[in-house]
Amino acid sequence: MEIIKLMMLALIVVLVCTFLKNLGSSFHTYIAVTACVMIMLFVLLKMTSLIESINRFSSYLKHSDKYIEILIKTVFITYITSFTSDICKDSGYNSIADQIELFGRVSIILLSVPVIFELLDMTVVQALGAEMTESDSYDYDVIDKTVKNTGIDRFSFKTLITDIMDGSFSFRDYIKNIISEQFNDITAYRIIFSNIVVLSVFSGIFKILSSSGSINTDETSQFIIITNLILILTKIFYETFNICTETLKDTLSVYQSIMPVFLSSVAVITGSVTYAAYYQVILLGISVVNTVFLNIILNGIKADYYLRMINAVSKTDRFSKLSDLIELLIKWTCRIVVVIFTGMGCVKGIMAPVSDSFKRKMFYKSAKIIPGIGDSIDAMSSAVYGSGIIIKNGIGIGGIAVIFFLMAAPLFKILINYLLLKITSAILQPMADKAFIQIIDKTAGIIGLMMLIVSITGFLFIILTALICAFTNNIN
Amino acid sequence: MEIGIIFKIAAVGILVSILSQILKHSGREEHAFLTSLAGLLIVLTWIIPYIFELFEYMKKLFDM
Repeated sequence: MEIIKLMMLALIVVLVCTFLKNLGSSFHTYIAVTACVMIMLFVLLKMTSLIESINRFSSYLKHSDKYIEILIKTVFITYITSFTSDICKDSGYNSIADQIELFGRVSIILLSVPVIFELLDMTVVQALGAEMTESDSYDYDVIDKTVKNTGIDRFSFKTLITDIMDGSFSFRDYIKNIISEQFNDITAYRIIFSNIVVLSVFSGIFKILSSSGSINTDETSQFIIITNLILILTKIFYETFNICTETLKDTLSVYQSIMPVFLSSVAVITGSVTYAAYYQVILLGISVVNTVFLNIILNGIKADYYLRMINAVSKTDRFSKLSDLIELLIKWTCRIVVVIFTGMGCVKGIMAPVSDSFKRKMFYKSAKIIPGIGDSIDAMSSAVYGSGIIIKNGIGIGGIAVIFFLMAAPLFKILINYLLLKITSAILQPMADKAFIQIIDKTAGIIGLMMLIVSITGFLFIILTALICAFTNNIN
Repeated sequence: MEIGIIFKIAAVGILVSILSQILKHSGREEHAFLTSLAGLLIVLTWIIPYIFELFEYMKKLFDM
């Protein structure tokens, strides 16, 4: 019934005012001002509970309660400015009304300046931080450290290898370990999720609250909220990005240290031609991962992320085609790299051992015809070759296992980040703004790209090793 | 916060305009001016605390 009271009040005031105007009295302005004050007070009384609940919810947001404070202040400035400027306009003083509106706009911008700088600070500091954490020369400790950083304690590369060797290693325990360690910090994910949900609710509330009369601060409040969202997402992005970079670097260095041993064991049983052929392929693979993945694609991903975020902040769609193009190029590069290396591994595997085995057959045949010791040479060499194959396969499978275990934890972590964002966007879609969903989705897509790159690197090295093992097994 | 204040202002407005017209017709321009000034002052003493109350309330509400 209060709404009817208010409407009646407004109508009565208008009637009284027109009467006074006709009478020639200037008092109608005072009545109008009084009525405005009355209605405004009424509205604010109603808003008290709303603002209280907003404050209560903003305490759930770990890092962004100061943004909510800024948002509430924006609403305050909007209301008070439009109140004053509308009264000025009613009295016919448009110039004063314009000045007041100008002042209101400027103070809203001044309020949101800290937000902009925080955004810049965050991205710049994170970007520099990401470039500074280059791992040193190859060292087991580095792996242990990285794996520890990605959330798995009690990881020791040495114990992993010894466990694999004496057969006491349980794959199930390892996976269980990874999963339980990841879900130990489930509160972190819960906080991120609840922050995003609360932000989306706030975005809806402030969209309604922050336009009054001729002043419309709708965009400013959306900007502040979206910046807040970007801050949360940037934290996830950089966390994933660092994991991705470290994993690639560690896998590279591990592979670089495993490969000489593995290839020399291959050379023992096959021959120099196969060794040289595979050495080339593996060298190429390592350098491709190093230059293409680590330097070009990861920077491309970073650029892609920045473009997406700039696109989200700006009102018009400016960079979406460019970032689509970057993503397409990254995907195609990954595919091409996989196809080329699988193909090269196969072709070299078919070609090279043949010429080696031809040479060796000549050697056998000539050794066999030596009278007396010919037969024993044959038996001895076949025993040596048999054990050589076992050693070679052992080293190869060890390498595959090491790469797999090195990648499993980071990949799982990236996967969880990816799923977190995907689930959040799925849950939020019915209620949140389109821009909101789009930002979360795009970030999830970029994290998915990183997952693709890490898994393709792992796949590349595992498949190369497996191919070499397979093709060098049947040599006679 | 009562609707009465609006009617009070309206009454003062009507009174002042009638008085000042009567005074103007009887040739006392300065008295007419004084009446409207008095009316204005009365109305302002009602309105200004009211506006002050509004701004104070806003300040409290938005925690400035």
